[in-house]
Amino acid sequence: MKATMKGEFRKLFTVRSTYILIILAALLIVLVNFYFEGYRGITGSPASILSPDALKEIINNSAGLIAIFIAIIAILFIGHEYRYNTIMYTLISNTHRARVLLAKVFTVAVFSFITGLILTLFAIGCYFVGLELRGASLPPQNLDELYQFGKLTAYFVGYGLIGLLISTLLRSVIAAIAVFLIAPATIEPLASIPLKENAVYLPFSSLDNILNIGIIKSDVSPATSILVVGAYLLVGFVIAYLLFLRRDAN
Amino acid sequence: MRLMLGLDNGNGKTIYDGKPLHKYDKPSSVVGILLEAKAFHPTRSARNHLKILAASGGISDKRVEEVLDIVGLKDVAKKGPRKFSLGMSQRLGIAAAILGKPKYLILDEPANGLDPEGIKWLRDFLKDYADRGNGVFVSSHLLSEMSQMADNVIVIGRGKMIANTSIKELVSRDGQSGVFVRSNDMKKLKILLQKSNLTFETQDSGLLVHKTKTDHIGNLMHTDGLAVLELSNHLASLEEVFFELTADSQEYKGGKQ
Repeated sequence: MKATMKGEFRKLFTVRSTYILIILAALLIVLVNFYFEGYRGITGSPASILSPDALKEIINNSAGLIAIFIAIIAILFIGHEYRYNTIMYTLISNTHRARVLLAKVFTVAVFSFITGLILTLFAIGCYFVGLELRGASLPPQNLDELYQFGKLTAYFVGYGLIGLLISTLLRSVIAAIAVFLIAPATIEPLASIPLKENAVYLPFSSLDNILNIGIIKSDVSPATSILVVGAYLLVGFVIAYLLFLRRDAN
Repeated sequence: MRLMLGLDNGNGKTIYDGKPLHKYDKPSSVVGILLEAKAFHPTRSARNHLKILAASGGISDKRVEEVLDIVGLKDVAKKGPRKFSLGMSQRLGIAAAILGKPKYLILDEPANGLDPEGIKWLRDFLKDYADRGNGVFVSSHLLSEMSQMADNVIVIGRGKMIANTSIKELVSRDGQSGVFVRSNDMKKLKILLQKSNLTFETQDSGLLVHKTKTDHIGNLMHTDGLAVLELSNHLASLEEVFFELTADSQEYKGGKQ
């Protein structure tokens, strides 16, 4: 199991796409947080009017952007294994498919957590540098650091794992990215028409409700949303595991 | 082969030294595989590709350098294999297969795309690997190559096993095997063979006599006072045997122009 996890981490960090996506996320953060929010200040943006919630808004909005890249990295992580058929080596190195899947889940969870937090700190740094150059300073902020840290952890890990889950189920990079991009932007908002306020319990809406940044606004607490996301992931990975066992490895 | 490795679902069981593969703690030390030459991420370097397999199999990174050296890819180890030729990809696949020093190698068409030097290297390498007490299981359509490389052969046609024996036995029991003979009086030789109920066919300047031995033909000709200009054993090629064995099992037969 330890050896399998070591191999999984190496897989993540030995492909260009991981670095390219992280750099792309960082560049967007610089553009948005440093330039638009910090240096220029956008009219109407909660962050730019220097409210007591400015920093929280900046963190949450940045997390929304970072999570997309984390999920795509997670999709490519397993999608490429099927695309280039290296999955057969993985399944020969460790013939227990449950352990292989568990190692992948653990790897993506750790990667999502660390990368998400580093990029969030980078986003905060960019914002402060922009403010400094503008000659502005923040008023006292309403931010419970520990609570925010917990929510961000759940959010990043949740997004990483949902990317991994979609890719494991579909085994196609293109199909997985399409589903990942279409579901939260189109399918769930459409589903909110018949579901009304219950739409907040849909997978991506639940994830976004952890940071209260989703399209569907609701009073459901972040803790409840974390539990809902956890339940989706649990059921999803049980199905993924059963398919992983039954399907031929190609 | 994929069934033997548990990659595909199906009936039957494959055991390696009495145990199925999943019962081993380190399967990569039991079996090494090459099922597809291009099974790698195109932009991940050859070295990193092997390092991942090493990490997953609990093998040291030092071994990665050893296998790169063995297959002759050390100079291009930093490069992504996207631009590798088929032969270079095969070498990378072989490096991956031998990484864990497995007791058994399962290789699908390993000589595909290799240049003549590469084919000779592969033949010598696999023979040496087998001579060290390991098992090498190769699937190939290059029959002349197999006849030089393999000790035992399994012939499969339409999913059914047609033969499972040593190459030596296979080619010697085949109808194409016999004795090649040449005499100064071929007409008289033919009459002699017919009298002795032996079947034969004309081949080059002599006769190929089926299902007999050189001693028998030599004695017959000596008794009849015929001069022997040439007398030798004729073993059928693996290709001839293959075509004879699979004559009824060929799925797609080509026509003539």
